[in-house]
Amino acid sequence: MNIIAKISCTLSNGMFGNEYAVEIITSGGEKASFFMDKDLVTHNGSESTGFIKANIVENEGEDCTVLLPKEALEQGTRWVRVPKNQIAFA
Amino acid sequence: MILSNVEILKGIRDKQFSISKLAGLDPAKSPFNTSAVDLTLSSEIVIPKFEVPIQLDLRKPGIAKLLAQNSTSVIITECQPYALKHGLLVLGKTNESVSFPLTAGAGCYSARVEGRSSIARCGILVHFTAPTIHAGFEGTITLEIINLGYADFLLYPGLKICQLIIEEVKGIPAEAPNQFKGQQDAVGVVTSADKH
Repeated sequence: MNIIAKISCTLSNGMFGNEYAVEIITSGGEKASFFMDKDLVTHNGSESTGFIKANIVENEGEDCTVLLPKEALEQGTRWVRVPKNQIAFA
Repeated sequence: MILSNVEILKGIRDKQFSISKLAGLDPAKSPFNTSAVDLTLSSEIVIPKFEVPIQLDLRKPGIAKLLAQNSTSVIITECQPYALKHGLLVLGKTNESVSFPLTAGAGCYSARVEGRSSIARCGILVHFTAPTIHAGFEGTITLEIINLGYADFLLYPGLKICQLIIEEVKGIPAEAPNQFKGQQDAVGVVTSADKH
């Protein structure tokens, strides 16, 4: 559980002022969204895109299984598969 | 096992977990109880919009954005609290931010947010289905506040709204890569590709 990577995400206003609605792309092109406190999100030079930190659980092939910091609303789980092209390894 | 007030403070001091902005660090005084620590309401309340009926379908993408677009944020103050009426739901957040880190090869902690008896007596639920703060969580805690009582209930910043009960997680959560490879049970990842 010690492999932490950054997952690309798009950002929009959350329900609270101190949070973003975060959206990531999972394997198969599905989107997963959840809310994150703003201070836990890193911008990549744009207001609407950035990175969130997540634990890498499995790293094999073209995808990784990651443990998200929050449960994805659509998938109902913190464990999702994410394409490696969406992940920046530290 | 539930941590006592003394063990909660020890865990904070040993950096096994953190709770920011605690009102005090004396285990024999507020915000500590014998086996919990009280958390307070922040100055922002989120109210669902009622004007436009929406339907939430968790199978469709963009749920977080949809929820955000269909709610209104209100800042409350000591002088201008929010009067929560019977039967209404609002969201609140704790002032305190918590962190229960996952550390490689080491044990970890999780927590449960629960109501407080004094507020319960007024008919207020501060969560009704999601009390668990999982190991690995970091951030402020969102509260689903609903008034089941018949009197308006005033929400103001700093209100001791809930209590945090901290527990040691038995065993070490999955730490090795590939641990979930091929797993098909409840903790496995289910995607559209898996379903087809």
